[in-house]
Amino acid sequence: MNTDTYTILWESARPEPPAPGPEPSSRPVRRKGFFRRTWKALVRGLSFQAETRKADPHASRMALLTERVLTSPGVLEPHVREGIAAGRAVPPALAEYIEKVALHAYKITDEDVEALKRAGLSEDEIFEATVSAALGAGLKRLRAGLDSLWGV
Amino acid sequence: MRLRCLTEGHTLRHKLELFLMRLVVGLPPLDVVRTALYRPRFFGKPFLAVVQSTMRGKSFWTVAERELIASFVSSRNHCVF
Repeated sequence: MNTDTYTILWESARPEPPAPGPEPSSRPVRRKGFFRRTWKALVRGLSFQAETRKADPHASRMALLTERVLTSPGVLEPHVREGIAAGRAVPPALAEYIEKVALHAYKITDEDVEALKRAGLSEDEIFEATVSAALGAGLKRLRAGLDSLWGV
Repeated sequence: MRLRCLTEGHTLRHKLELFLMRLVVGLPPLDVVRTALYRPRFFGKPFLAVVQSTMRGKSFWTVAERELIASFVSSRNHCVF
């Protein structure tokens, strides 16, 4: 390899010098659709604010669900279901199960449900108690979430 | 399912609906669906109304974002649904 070939290879491996571009202007570079995107972000932000300030839009449906679960006719008396949902005045046979449903439902085993059946509770009673406890726990968390959102 | 009434206790109409679901999808219906169709006036109907309006109704969040939030909450609760 003579010197000339080496020089040519060496030169070709070097990066191209940057092409002389247009004069750098003092104005900031704006991407395409700058105003449209800014406008959309503004609208999105304002609508989020408006939505979080107004009352809970699902309140009426939640109220209907609460009413149906806690007061509609069932095998458990309404005041028992309300007690279960509020976490007070729980029937002693159900107390442990109710607490599990409300705090860590994933820990419930077949054995827990079998024990309730052996204690003489019907399946409908267990079903109603479970739904009431879950609803009570859910409402508590919803309340906490909305309070933190609205700073009440 | 731990309660037999949730798998076998449905009314005839809901049994038919569950059968059709199984026929169309080719899999047994989800336990959530079976629970919602058991005594729907007590729990299923008003519950699904809430689910529909929160997860699919008008909102600041897109449906995908809401599903993501829901799956995060479920995973924190160790819940597979």
